[in-house]
Amino acid sequence: MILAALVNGLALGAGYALLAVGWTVLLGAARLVNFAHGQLYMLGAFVTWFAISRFGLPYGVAVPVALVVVAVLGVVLQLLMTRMTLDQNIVNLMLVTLAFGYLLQGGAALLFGGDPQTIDSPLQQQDLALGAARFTGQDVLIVVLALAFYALTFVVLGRTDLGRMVRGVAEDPKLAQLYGIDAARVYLAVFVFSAVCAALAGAVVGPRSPILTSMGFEEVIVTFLVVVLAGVGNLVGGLVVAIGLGLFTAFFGTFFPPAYSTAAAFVVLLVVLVVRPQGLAARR
Amino acid sequence: MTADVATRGTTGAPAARRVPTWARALLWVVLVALAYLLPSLLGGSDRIYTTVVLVAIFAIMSYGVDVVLSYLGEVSLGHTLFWAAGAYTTAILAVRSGWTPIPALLASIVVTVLLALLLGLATLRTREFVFSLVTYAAAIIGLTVVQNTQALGGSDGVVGVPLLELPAFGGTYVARTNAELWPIALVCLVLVVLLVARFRRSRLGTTALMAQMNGELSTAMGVDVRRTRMLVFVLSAPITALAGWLYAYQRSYVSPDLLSPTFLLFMLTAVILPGRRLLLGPLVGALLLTSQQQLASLGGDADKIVLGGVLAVVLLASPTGLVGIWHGLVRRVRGSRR
Amino acid sequence: MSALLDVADLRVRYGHSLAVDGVSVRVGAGELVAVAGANGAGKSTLVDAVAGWSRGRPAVTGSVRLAGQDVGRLAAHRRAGLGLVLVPEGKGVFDGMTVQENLRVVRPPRGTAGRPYSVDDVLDVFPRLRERIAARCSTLSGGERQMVAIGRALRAAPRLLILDEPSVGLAPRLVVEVLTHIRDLVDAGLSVLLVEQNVRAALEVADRLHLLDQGRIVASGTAAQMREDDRVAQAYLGGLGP
Repeated sequence: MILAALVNGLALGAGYALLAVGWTVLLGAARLVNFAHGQLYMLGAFVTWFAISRFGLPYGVAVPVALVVVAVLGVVLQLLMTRMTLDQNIVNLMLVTLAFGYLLQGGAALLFGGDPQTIDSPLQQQDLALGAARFTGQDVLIVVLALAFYALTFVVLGRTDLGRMVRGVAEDPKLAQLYGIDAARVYLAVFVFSAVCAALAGAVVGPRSPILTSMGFEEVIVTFLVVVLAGVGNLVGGLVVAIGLGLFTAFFGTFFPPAYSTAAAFVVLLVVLVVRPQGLAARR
Repeated sequence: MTADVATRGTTGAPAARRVPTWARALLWVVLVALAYLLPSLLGGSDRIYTTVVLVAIFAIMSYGVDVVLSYLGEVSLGHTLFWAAGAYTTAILAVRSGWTPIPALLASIVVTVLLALLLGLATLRTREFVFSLVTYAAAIIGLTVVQNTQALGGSDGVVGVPLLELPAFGGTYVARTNAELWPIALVCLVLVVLLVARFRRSRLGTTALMAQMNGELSTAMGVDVRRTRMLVFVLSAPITALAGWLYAYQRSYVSPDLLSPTFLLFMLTAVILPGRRLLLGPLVGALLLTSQQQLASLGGDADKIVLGGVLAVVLLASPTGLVGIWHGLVRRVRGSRR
Repeated sequence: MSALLDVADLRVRYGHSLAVDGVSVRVGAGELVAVAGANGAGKSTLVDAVAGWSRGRPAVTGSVRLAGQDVGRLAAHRRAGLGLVLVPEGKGVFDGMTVQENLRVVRPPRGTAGRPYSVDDVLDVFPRLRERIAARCSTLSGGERQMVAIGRALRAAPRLLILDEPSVGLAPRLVVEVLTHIRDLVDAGLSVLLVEQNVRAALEVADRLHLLDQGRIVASGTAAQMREDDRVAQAYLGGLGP
């Protein structure tokens, strides 16, 4: 049972990590708190489902389609918010993303209907076992993708000109202008990256359980738990905290009613906020 | 400096100054009397009474958020928690323990103040967006917890809230219909507006506004920004709880949907749509939104799009709300006359 | 003759206060023009407006032309891309990055900009940075940070380099070192607009100098003329005698 919870927690945590990686970069670079993040996750799952069930696309093709759709949506949303982002009007940014999220949820409900759906992924049928623990090929895919995305983000941020531009804008967007960097384009790139990560998380975590257009709110909370516990902008900390949160949820769900697991994690967060407001992993 | 901030915080202050106090008081009394008669002037159908009662309840609910958002400049996304706490405390005490409305209201206020203190203390040392995120998480997680806790009625909620009975001259006043609930809702609304008006002129209100406009400066002037934030937040919670109390009686049941983002978006939009920092802003916002939902509903999901769309469009096109659009128009008209 | 940089009748307003009041400045090719003046005279506001840059939200009127092209309405990063490069007063580098990263993050020049400096070229100009190349900028001394700031500006292939108080906070020996570097760059063909509070130091290296007071130019001339000018002598040189 311990092993089963461990494997399940790993898959859960990897999903959380994938969900949070874009937000970590976004919040670090643009100080943009995106409350529509969970709805982008929901859309990632639902567009994948729609592409499979309506157009008969295989899962492997439906996922990239969903990513492109959400990326385009991300471009539109960020272009609408460019002015606010440049002004760093954080209050209005939070409010407008909240409105976007609600809008997307209403739109998705009209478009996709209110019934629970399942994403048909061939990997979900591949049963694997490690001792007593059973898992699926889908779980493996989630873990591999999460690790790959963290590695990719780590390398891009640390080693490439694009990453340096993002870090520059994160440190001082005004100064970045003098370096010839167009902060608006960097914000756009980071926002779209964040949206695509959320959509990917939705598309690969979605097949594990039925999906609803009303999901997405808990996902924002999970992302937020990961980012704040790790310390804003802390990438490695984010991965560790996400996996830790996944394990926590899995083990909590083994012994207590699973519905309370996010609430329990939230109580942990409240305690951390009182004791260490800068996050668990932050050095300062 | 303080005077300047205070003036800007008061709607139409320069014009209002010239009117003597007694005339202004009279104007308000006439306005309230007109409001009282409004539903019967509109035909007095049950639908109209339902709408006006809901406008009053939702306006009170929004005033709680208004106090935090307009004057403190912080985005509280946890006021649905206070709204639900007010309604749930009332419903549970009234249904299971047979409490009468006034003690139930007092208990609701105590519960919400404790909740607000807890959230406020946890976020005392955090940065601006962490406050919003924690309050948001509290509301969303509250939804899951309430849905899954049988002691709170689970996903069915608590049904069978008795009628609102208040002691009155020579017996009790029983609100059997929305028409009979209307005077009580209106009195609550008027009291809340008076409270907010008082708050705007109070030391706490001006301090909050100063802290919002320039945190560093007000710190330098000896304002304890954290304490101000805490006080305003704790003050705002019972306002929303009062609306929850009324809503429990109006609807005669409570359910987890009180914690849904729908009410959250409603509160925020009601404050932002007319324009922040207006005394009657949340009332106007609640009036517009409730009228749409009650009298011109397009169906649940489409109404969500309307609500989210209105909020997004206002923020993107005119963050100062309808008042900002109005000022822009006036300026343009004056400009073209020259 | 058209100047490389032609600023005409520039006015900068912050709310109700006019920080720069109708200033016109020209910088020719291969020329070092200095703007001097007391604290609060509007020097930084002036050059920030020329670069289209500000941390506040000023209202700017007047024209800014770079080699005849009107750049007055472009965003700061676009002007930088055209070779109008500002090194601001104070914080001019990304503290969280190493020297090398600061030099590499600069966007390469677009179109007809000036001479591009490679990272190696910058290290040739400031040999002292070579040994600190992998150090985080937050660990550098004031002089070294100033060198990184000028270095990254050179990387942007400037046609006109604007330096806002590069000597502020530096030890006197370093002031000379930094200003000498700047003069060498000008002698190699670069055009520079230099803001200096230290008039004596500015006169050592500048070709021409404008004296700014309360947002207006109150005296202008060649460095030789200005050394003889009573107003300059009274205001700055006299009181600061050796």
